[in-house]
Amino acid sequence: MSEIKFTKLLEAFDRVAETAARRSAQTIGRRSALSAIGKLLVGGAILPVLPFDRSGSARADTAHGAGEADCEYWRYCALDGFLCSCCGGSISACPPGTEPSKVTWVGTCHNPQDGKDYLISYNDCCGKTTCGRCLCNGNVGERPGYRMGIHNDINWCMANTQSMYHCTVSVIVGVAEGK
Amino acid sequence: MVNRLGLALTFLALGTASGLADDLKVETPRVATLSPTMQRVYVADAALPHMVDGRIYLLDGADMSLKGMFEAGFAGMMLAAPDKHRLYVATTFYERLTRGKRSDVIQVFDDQSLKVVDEIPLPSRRAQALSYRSLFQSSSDGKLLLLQNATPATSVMAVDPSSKRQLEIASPGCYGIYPAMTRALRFATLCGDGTAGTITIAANLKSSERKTGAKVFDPDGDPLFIHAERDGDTYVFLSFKGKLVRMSVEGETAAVTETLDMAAGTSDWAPGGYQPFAVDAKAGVAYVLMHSGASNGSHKNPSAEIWAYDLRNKRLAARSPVTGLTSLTLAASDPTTLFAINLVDSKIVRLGIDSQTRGIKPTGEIKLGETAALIEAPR
Repeated sequence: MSEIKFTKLLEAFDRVAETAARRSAQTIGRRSALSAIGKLLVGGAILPVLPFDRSGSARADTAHGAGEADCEYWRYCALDGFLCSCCGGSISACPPGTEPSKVTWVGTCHNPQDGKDYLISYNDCCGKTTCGRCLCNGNVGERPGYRMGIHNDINWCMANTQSMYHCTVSVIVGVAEGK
Repeated sequence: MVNRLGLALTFLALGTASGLADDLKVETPRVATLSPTMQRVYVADAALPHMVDGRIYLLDGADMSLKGMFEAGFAGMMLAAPDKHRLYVATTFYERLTRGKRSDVIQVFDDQSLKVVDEIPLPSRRAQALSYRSLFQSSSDGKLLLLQNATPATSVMAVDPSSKRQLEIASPGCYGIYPAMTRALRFATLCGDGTAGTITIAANLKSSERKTGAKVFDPDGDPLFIHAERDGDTYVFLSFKGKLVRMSVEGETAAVTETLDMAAGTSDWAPGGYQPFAVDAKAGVAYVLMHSGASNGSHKNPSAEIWAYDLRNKRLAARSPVTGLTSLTLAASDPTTLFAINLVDSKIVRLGIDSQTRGIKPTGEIKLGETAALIEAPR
């Protein structure tokens, strides 16, 4: 599926990040390159997009070779927020000291490895200050708040006792049927 | 100890004074004041990487300098009331900054001193959302504040800022607040089934009535942005595919009175952003942030061009290449000036409009902000 998953805004950011990443990757390796990207994300053009509901059926459009700290990783096809993989957690684990959001949403992502579509639950992790690293942004299928279930400019930690937003995980909850 | 230190500092100051250059003199710290006639520009920045520290910047539109700030807490929303010299900020504070008891309030700022002069406690149900104009409004007579709630079940809080009395109005499945211009106690809201709810509040602020009319938009095929612009006693809405939809919310139910297809024949182009257009009601022109390569999910893309659409003659008047903008507003005091947020380069820009051709060019900017979403120039 060739739909644009990331906005032009993120592409513009990527161009800046890519240059910096390439430069540092040549000299100090990939881990440091990712760190440089993280810094750019914190200090640069971050989208005012909160990490919330994105049901619908967006698919990852690249994903080949992308790692869990890359927005292009297939499970993040409908994720909009800071990756918990960059914040002390993992793709399916909230960082220590946080708790998963009570309200969640399910997107459908295409795994290029086996060609299947998976249902992905995007739980926010709540209760610590905003992570601020590895922001990913997808708006495919997103709608304004009159379709609250697929709206992403609002805090989905809102139903938790500790409602501070920290980051978002991407948990496989099933295989999409008929896809 | 403190006295001794004070004495030492005094001597230091006197000693330094004697060695001053001719064009310098001894100073005392002071507090800057704002010109009462300044072209005010407010920019709401949610500061996403450190969300408890949201802020609202105050700029002087004449030279695009930063003049001051208002604290906006966690996911704060702003509403300027220049006639009252107030800026209202609805926000959340946590007892221990990022944890502990949640407190939601409307902070009432004096717009000259920039200090909090009052605070209105709210139930903790307000939408912790990006600051969109339609999520925090005042009634057309300015007497009531209307604030969007979401838990995520949606409702609207009507607040009398004088008495601090409040009424919660259920609006399930609906979002956005569009006050009627001729009925101070009435507002409309957009609903997920494509209808609009019209709510009329009782004068005693104890009850409300809601009516729903026919569908006014297609939330599946061509959704409306929740940002809307006033034009006389109607609102102009904008759809994801570039239709300008004029809606009257004055009656018991909302009604579409006109639909103009701004992007007809240019299927590759669509509006985008968080505050994607502004309307000059007097001249009858809409200014819209447009991007090419439009697709599902591109509705928040930054601009490649600004299109000026003549609402009266129903034609595209001008296309101006201005890139990177995601929010746009028209200066209330000057219909040839727009202000905008450029999220790509993290700056706030001023744009000049040629009143003959409707062409637009940048005329000033300031590097400012991280995740700003709403910009207003109310006077």
